[in-house]
This record gives sequence, C-alpha cells and structure tokens, in this order.
Amino acid sequence: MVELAEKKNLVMETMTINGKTVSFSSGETILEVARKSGIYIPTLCARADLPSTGSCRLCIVKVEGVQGYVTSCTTPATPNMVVTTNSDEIEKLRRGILELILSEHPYACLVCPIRETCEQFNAPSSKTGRVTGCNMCPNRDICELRQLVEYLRLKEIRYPFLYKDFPLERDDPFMDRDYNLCILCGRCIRICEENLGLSAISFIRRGHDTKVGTSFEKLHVDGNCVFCMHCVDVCPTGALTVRGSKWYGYPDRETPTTCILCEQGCELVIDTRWNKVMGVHPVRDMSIGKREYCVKGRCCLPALFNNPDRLKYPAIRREDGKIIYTDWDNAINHVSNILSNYSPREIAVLSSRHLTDESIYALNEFARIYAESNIFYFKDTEIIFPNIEKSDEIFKDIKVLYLAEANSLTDETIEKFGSLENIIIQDIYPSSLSRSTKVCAILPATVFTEMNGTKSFADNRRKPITKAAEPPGNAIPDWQITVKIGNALNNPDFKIKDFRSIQNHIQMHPWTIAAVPMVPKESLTYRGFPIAVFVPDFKVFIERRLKSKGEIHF
Amino acid sequence: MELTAKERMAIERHGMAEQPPDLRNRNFEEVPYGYTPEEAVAEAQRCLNCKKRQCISGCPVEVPIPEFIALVAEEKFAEAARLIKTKNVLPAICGRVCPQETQCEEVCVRGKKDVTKAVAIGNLERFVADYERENNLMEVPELPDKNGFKIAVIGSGPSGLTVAGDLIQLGYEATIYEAFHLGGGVLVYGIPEFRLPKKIVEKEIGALEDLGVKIYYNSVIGRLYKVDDLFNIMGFNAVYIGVGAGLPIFLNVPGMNLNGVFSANEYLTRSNLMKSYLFPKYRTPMVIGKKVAVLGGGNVAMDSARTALRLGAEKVTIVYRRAREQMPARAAEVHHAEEEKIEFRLLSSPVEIYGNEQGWATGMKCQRYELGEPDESGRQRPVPIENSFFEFDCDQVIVAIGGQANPLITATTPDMKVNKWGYIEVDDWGRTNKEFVYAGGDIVTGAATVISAMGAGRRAAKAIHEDLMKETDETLRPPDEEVE
Amino acid sequence: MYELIEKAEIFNVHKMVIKAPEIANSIKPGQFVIIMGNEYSERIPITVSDWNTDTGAITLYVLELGISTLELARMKAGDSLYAVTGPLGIPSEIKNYGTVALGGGCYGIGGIYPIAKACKEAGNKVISIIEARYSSMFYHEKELHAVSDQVLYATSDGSKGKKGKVEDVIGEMLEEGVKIDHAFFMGCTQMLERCSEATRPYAIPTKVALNSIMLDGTGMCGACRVSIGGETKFACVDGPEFDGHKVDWKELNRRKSAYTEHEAVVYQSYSHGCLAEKKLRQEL
Repeated sequence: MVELAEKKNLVMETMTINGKTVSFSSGETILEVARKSGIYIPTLCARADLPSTGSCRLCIVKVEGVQGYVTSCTTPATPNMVVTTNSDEIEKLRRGILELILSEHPYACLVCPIRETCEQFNAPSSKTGRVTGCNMCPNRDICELRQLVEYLRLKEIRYPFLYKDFPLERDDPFMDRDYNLCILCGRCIRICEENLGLSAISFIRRGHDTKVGTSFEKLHVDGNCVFCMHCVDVCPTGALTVRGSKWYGYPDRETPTTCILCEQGCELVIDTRWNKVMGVHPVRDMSIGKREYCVKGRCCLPALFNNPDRLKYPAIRREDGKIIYTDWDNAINHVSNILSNYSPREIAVLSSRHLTDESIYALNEFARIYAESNIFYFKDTEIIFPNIEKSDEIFKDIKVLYLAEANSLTDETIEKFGSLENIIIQDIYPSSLSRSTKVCAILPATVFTEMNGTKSFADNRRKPITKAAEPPGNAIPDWQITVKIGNALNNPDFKIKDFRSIQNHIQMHPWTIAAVPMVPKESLTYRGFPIAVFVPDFKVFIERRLKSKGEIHF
Repeated sequence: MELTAKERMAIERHGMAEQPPDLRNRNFEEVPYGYTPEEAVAEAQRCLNCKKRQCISGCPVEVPIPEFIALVAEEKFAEAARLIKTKNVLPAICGRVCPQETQCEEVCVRGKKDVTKAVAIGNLERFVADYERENNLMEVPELPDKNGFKIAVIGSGPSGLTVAGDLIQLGYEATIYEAFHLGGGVLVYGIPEFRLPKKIVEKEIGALEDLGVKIYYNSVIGRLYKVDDLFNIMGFNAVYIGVGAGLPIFLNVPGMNLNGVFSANEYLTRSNLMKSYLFPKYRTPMVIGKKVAVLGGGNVAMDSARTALRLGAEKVTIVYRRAREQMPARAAEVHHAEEEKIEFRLLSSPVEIYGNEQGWATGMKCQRYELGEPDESGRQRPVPIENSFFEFDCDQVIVAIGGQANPLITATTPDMKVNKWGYIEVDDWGRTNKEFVYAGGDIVTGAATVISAMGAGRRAAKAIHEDLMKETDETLRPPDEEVE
Repeated sequence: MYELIEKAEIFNVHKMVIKAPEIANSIKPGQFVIIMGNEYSERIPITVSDWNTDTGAITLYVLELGISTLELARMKAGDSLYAVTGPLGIPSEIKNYGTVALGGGCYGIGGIYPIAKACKEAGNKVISIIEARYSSMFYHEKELHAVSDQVLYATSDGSKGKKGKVEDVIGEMLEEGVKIDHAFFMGCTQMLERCSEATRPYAIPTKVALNSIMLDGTGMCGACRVSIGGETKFACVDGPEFDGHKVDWKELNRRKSAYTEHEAVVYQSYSHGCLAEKKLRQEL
C-alpha cells in the first residue's frame, strides 16, 4: 500500500508510456502518471482519491525488463521506466480477469443481445429488491463494470454464474445493500477507514463467503456507521444504494449549495428532477477535506422538503372564526390591519436559527421598527434574546406574536404571554399551534433548497444558498413575507424593500447576524420541527442509536 | 318572533362564503365554506312556507323541504337533519352535489323570476347535515323487528346506499357488494374531494353500517358470484343492481392511446379513490400535466378540469363540440370552472392527438363546428365546418365524453333484458324482467345525477318491499321456505 | 382483511399464499386478482397461480418492482393484506388442442401452472418451457412437472437446459418439426413479444397474458387499454389473454413506463424500519 505522505516529494522525472515521454514526480504510481497524461488504464478498485490495494488486477501493465505484468495502481513510477498499457495480450488478460469477477456478479444482462431494448422499456424495474440483472439495477447508468464490459468488448462469459446468495440487507435506515452484486473491491472499506477514520465496515468471513460487513454482522445503525453514504458514492456496482434516491437516470439539474441544518454549513450538491429535491451528493471533487456532511444533509432533505403536508397557500382567520385560504395581497392586508391596532411594545417576534441571513435580517429589522426590538430565538427549549436588554419579562405585555418557528412554542411558553390576543405564523409545516383560536394568519415560507441567499456559519464563514427546487403552492421566502408586511405597515423607517437592499444592510450591520445563536451539529430539528417526524428513517436512526449507544454523533 | 311574508321577502339570498378562485384552484379543500348558524337561520327565514309546496314535487326523493326549513329558522338544526333523513339517507352529500337549480330551487316561488334568488335549499340541507355530524348529534333510529328477508345490493353508490338504507329501516337484512376497497361508488371515485369531502361519504356510510347494513368490499359481482348465485348459493330474496355506468368511451381519432391521454374515469379515480393528490403518502401516482385539455361539457369534464388545476396544471382548456348553452354540466360548476380561469374552446372537437417520440401527448388538432338542426333530444346538432382546423399544445388529455354500460353483470346474466346500448331495461319502479331482480341508477339510465340515482333506489326499495310482502301474503313466513 | 398464510422469496419473486376462500371457490385458470398490501397501496393486478378450495387459499407470485410490491415483499406470514379483489379477467380458453406449448418467465413460471394443469386435464399433450437467468431462479417446478408431459428449461448462463430464452427453445423445436397446436406465454413484455415472433412464421395460435397498468380491473377506467390488431381493448375485461401476433408491443411498453418518475419520488418518504414500522406510519 502506498502511503499518501510519500507523494509529497516534488522532484520531476521522466518516463515513457506507450511510446510517449511523460514527466512525473517521485512517489507517483504508474496509474497516476498515466491518468495525468490522459492515458486510460481500466480500474475497478483504484480511485484517485483513495489509497490503492491492487486487488482487482485490471490495471495491469507491461513494464520493460520486468517479467509478467504489474498492477499500475501500486507500482511507483521510476525514472526512464518504459510502460505499455495496452496490447492484445494485456486486453486478453484483462478480459479474463473481468470474466472471473463477473462470474460472481449477476451478469446475464451485461452480455444479453437484447439488453438495449429491454432496458429502454424496463425503466421502472430499477427499484426491485433483489437485483438479478442490470435491467433491475438502479446503478446501471454509472456502473463501472458495465463500462468495462463495453471497453473490453466482452461478449460472452464462459463461466456459469455463481450466486453468492447473501440475504438482502435492508433493515438499516436509508441504505439498501445487496452484497450479491459486490465485487470485493474494498473501496467502501477504504473510504470509511482511511478517509473518515470510522472503520464501520471491513471484510468479514472467509473464502467464498467473504463479504463486506460490520463486526458481528450487526446492523450498520447499531455499529459505527454515521450514514454519510460515502461508501455508496464510491461503490462501482449497485451493491450499495441510498433507498430514497433509488431511481433510474440522471437528474435534470445539479445545484451546488450549502446545507443549513447546522453550524457546519457543509457544501453539497442537490439533484433536481421534476423540480423536486430528489437526492444529494457530494461535490464532485471529492478531496478529503470536503467530506464532512452527515446523514441529515445527505439523506433527509428529499423527504423533509417534499412532504405533501408543506404549507402551500396563505390563510387567514375569517370573522366567523374559520381559517380560509387567500392570496398574498389579502393575507398581507389582513396581517398589517391586525398589527396596526397594536403599539410596538405589544408585539414580539420569534425568529429562527435555521433562516438565511436575509430572512433573519428582515425579521430583525421588522422587530426593531415595529416591535420595540422584542425578538427572541429558541435554542432547543431555552429562550434567547439577541437584544441583551430584553428578557422574558416582556412577554407579559405582549398581545401579538409573529412567529417564524411556531413549533418551538410549548404550552408552557405560551402561558407566559398573559395577554396574548393574536398569533401570526410564518412557517413551512402546520404545527400544533396552527389550531389555536388566536392564530389570525398562516403564511407559507420556503425551505433553503427553494431560495437564493446567504447563510453565516461557525467562524463567521458566510456561504451561498442556491435555489435548486420549486416551492410548493404559493410559498415564498421568509424575507419576502417580512418585507411585504413591513412595507404594508408604512413606517418610513422600515427601509428594506428587496433582496439587494437587505444584502446592503447586512454589509452595514453584520452584528445583527452575528448575534444569532448557532445550530449545534447534534440538532435533531429543522425550524423547530423534529426531522424524524417527516423522515421516518431518521426516526429509526436516532431511536436505534440512542438504544445502542446512548448518544448520537453526526 | 314570527316574520311577516313581506319581511321574509325583504331578505336577500345568502351566498355561501367560498374560497377565492385564485387560490382554491391549487388545493383540494372544499370550495364553499358552508353557512354559519346565523346565515342559515337568516336564509331559512326567506322561505314563505307557501301552500302549494312546489319544492317537494321538484325533489326526486320528496324531502319535506318547508318543514325542515322551518326547523332551521327555529334553530332546531339537528331536528331538521333528522327530518330530512326520513326521506333522504344522504343529506350532507345531496346538499352538495344535487342540481338544485333544476329541481327544488327551480320551482321555488322566490326564484320564479330568477332561480338564483330562490331559497337556498341545497345550502340549508348541507348546513343541517354538517351541523348534525360535526356536533356528533347523529342518532341511530330505532328499527323494526327483522322480517327475515335478505336483500343483496350490488354497488355502494348513491342508489345502492339508498336501497339498503330504506330496506333496513323496513326490517330487511341488507347486504351491499362493492367492487372497490372503499364504499360510495361515484361519490368516492368520481366526485372530487373539493366538491364532496370523502370524510363525509365515509361518515354517512358508517351511519348506514350502524343501522346494520353489511358491506362486503372487493367483491366484483359478475365474477365472484353471478346474479343467480346470489339467490341460489347465498340465499338472498331479492337483488338490486346499482353498479353505475362503467366503461369509458374514447374518441375514434389517432393518438388516443398515447401516454398522457386519460379517461376521466381513470383520472378521477386516481385522484379521488386512490388519493393520488396526496402522493407519495398514497402510492398511486398521477401524471401532472402542464397544459391540460379536457374533452366534454358535462359535470365530469368540469370536475376533471378543476382537479387538473389543483394538481398543478398551468393551463386547462375544455374542448366541447357544442355551444355553451348545450353544456350538460351544472351551471354552478361551469361558473366555478370559469372563475378558476379554465379556458373554453366551444364548438370544437379533436381530429388528432399529436405525440412525441417517447409516445407522450404533445398537442391536439381540432376542427370547428357550428350548430345545425335540432336532433331528437331537442339540442341543436353540431356540424363540422370544412377546413376549419386549429391546433394547440397540451401534454395531457382527459376524455370526459361519457361512458357505456359495463357488461360485467349483464353478460353473466343472459336472461336479463337490456336495451341496444347494453343498459338494463326496467319498469317505472326498477323491476327488471327477472323476478326479484331490480336495477337503478346509471346502469339503467346512462350517466345521470346522484339524486336521480337515489330516486331510482327509493322507488326500487318500495317495489322490493311491495313485491316481497305480496309473496308472503302479508304474513311473515321464514324466507327459507321462499327459496325453495 | 386477507391473511397471508405463507410467504417465501425466490430471487425477487415473492410467493404469497393468501386466505381468500370466496376467490378460491370461483377462480378459473388465467384469471387474476387485484391486491393492496395496505390502505395507501396501489392496486396491483397479479395472476393467480394456484388455489385450494378446501383450505380457501390462493397462491400468488409477486415480482418486487416498486413501492407497493416492496411493501408486499416485506410482509410476513401471519400479516394481513388490505384488499384482495377477484377473480378478474376472462379465464383461459381450455379445450383439447392437441399439443400445447406453454412458456413462462419470471412470475410467469408460476403463472402458467394452472393453465398447464387445465390443458392436461382437457387431454392435451403439455410442453412447459420455463426460463430464468440462472438455474437457481426456478421455482414451482415440481408442480409444473406433475401437469406437464415435458418440462424444458432455458437459462442465460447455460447452467440448466438450453443457454438462451424460451423463444430459443420453442424456435428450435419448431425448426425440428415438432408439431405445436396452441401456444401460451406469460412473463415480461419483452419475452411475450419475442416468443410471439417465434411462433408467427408457423402460424401457431398464440395467446399472451398482458400485464398493462390497471386501476379498477372492472373495465371502468381504461388505464389498461391495449391495441390488438388496431382495435383498442381493455386488458382487464377483454383479457388478460390476447392474440400475441396482433399486439401493438411498442405502445404497450411505452404505456407501462408512464410512471417511472413517480415511482422514484415515493421512495423518499418510505421506511423499512427496523423498529415498529407500522406504528410509525400511523403516527405520521
């Protein structure tokens, strides 16, 4: 195994590959040099971002003066080395190796003469439980085995197929595993061990029974696995899949954005299809430093944001007490009419740590102008006042609440508001509070994948948030709602009008954002809603984790 | 305080508060919100309680309309609901889906000049039924002793429910066979949630079950049992067939089998019965068209068009062969559709549906029509205008041009008389040519209304009662002897 | 509720033995049922492979292919299905044809059994040909042997019988001059099409059981419409069996893949759950 540290030496030397003189720095392997020089060598187990093991042997090359063939992924380049990466003989050998690998991988479709028409018309079947051929495999479009079969023009496999008959592993949350498809390349083990330091999985059992698994073959959720799904990202076959992203084909759009669920602010790429968040994957440049995101950002977003219960249309309480849907103009009118009946000291604003900087700023500005800076946050159950002069003493005079995180409000907190008359809810889901007779308006907001903006994270890093999906119904971003209400109330001191003016204000008053408490990595909620309520597998994950380990780490 | 006629005349009709069209077209909640108690009392006071009581004769099931309205005026809402139920077992449903403007309200004295000024009988009926249900005031009426006769009802649609409800109250054992996994027939698969919340149907069927009506779901008569089996094997004394119309008709133009072309039945069944508007919680998927064309001018076409809007269509166009005046849809439904900005292309009919390489519908070629001589139904016949074609884009086509008789039962009951279109032939009281076999609703008349099906059910129930009582010679004999 | 008496998996094909006595009493070869695992489920048409009027049990072979069949696949003996509707469809036409060849693949291996049995009882010489990718994927073989004069195999890897598919076996037989009077096929659309093409040159009357998307199964919705010799038919009430030489395969294939995208979205809010999944569902 080549140690990564060895590669640091930067003396340039030259060698010859396929008759072409190429330069390299010492410590690089033949495979690395070839790749840099645009020369393709087929591999299954090796990856540029993983340490090599030479286990699949597909990358064999001929080195002049060396008997037989060497694996290019583990052989260091040496000065004046003469390498041939391809010849009839090498190709024949590689075909033989691939045939052997495939004799234990359900290969029927790979060499089937009617594969093309079959797959064209069997698109739906990529969501089967047990995969017995490519037409059932959700990974078939990015499968490296298939690419190799085509590259090596393999038309027939001489061995009968030997099914390993491992049981399907799909009792874990989020992840389906079918080790009958596994070719034992070990990439998943290496990424888990070398790059993440977790070693949740390793090769277990022996001989023909060898497979990847956890120690004592426990469920992953009961072991060290954190469900970051990096193993899925590097798997060359369809053995590992994220259940929620089990679908055939490519996304319509891939949008890099920043996860807002905690203070880490991990970069991730949203897969959009049909204007919905269909999946999440890491930024394509998978350098080690960027692999930090957790199960929340990797697996929970689609179910969390595509839930049909999302608030879609503004609603107001009619005079007879019934809540009715209305359009935005009516709703804003209704809200501003109610607010204009109260003095600023009778109004309080509950902001949310999960909002973008723009939305937070807008609420802050609203509170400053119209609510005597009565603004507070929830940090789990604790109430935080960014305005240090305030405390929950203000609550007893408050008659109107403008809430951007309604679900955090417990009955106990509500009781502190002795003279409460009206509640305005601006949120993404209905909460238990929605049923309160004091609610006079419910305003649907967007989630972070449905809007543009910025968000400040730990260490004052401010990162972009990019729209990747369409909001449900008529929902609009929080800042837009707040700006609408603020302007309808007609105080000339309320100066923010649009996205740009908010951003300018943030530049001038950065402390307003800095005063917002951060969301810890361990948080289990989004905007006051437990993620587990909308993502059943996340509920399974945390319950099981608590049971087996007593705590949860992401 | 008793109002004078003059005072009553002075009260304006109370419209029901409704969701404004711009937003109701994106959600599946009911469009009208219902009366408040105050509105209901005020509306009830508009009734003049006239001698002639035309309204009752306008009602296919003869609900005692002036009496129940008088109870509403006295704020005796639950009593009013119970009074209606003596004649109509499904008031919350009828209050919503009956075409009152062509029935009771059309003949109301207050609406003589303008039917929209009539007493809002339907709204009041809906109000009292909702009031009774929402306040848990529903009572199980006392039933007479069982008379020993067993009746099989095929189909749990409006006519079947009426037959079962009526007969159980006369001492019969009533058993309903329903093909679907839920009861209600067209009430659950056809009429959309925003017009008739399914919770209400469930509640009203629950009330019937409380009365003792047995319902077997997932039971397709004609396949599981033949009609004769119901007598011979299952021991029923009479059978009522209320299976609805059934098979959808498609136009005979190229492109009808493209993806994205649906029968209204399929489209509505997916959305309503299988609740695909709540997908993915409910697993049945639905194609969401951007530009949707609906073919037809009936209530089903309006329902389909409005469902399409709520599912997220950008634009919905109704294509209808005749003119506005000939549309068979309820005026209120057409009005709602127009309010929701559904486009109407009248006097037009498709000659081809275009598709793309993947086999999905992409557009439509239509021909314009003009009105010619009246046909036998009295409506002016649409005549195609030569070389008057036009095209427009659409990625979904919903065909709502009616249906034909479902042969599942008639084909397996060869000795039952059907007319040339396959509908069952019956007398005025629902009797078929087969002894003790009765039929009513759409399988007799072709597509019609909920209330007319209920009326047919009511008449058939009377006939069944009369015929079976005649058999027993007015003394109750155990039914076992009858079967022999 | 319909109790699941027995449950087993054979390579993604799930054997489900369900208690449904009324259906067991009235069903005939070639008919199907529509089942729902739970109240949220789709309505899925499934051919009935076997039934027992004494125990009131019906046997289905269900291919896991999406969320609703996944939920069925995850059920265990002792669980109950939400709905089983049937029998539906027109029974196979059984008479003494002479020699009958039946071809089955995937769920069709179990599916052809009752037809083979009835054909045998009607005095036919029954040749059953079944295909699978690998030899370990066969099932229901013993029963099929009992009602067939001959059982022939085809596998993709050549591990049992002929290397190839049903159409290769039947094609070879026909070339060799074996006389077949009637052919019947059940399996995926690809297989049905290719088998029909194999019998066409010999003008052998060929029936195929079509598996188009269905909703009600009683002719009411038209979702299952197929073009047979240029005429639109409903697979649920006019079928499921049609003349294989007249089916518009291209149209059938494309109508069947209409909901690919929806089938993907649905997986996001689904949990197999290692805890009490049903309880979770109720809470949500």
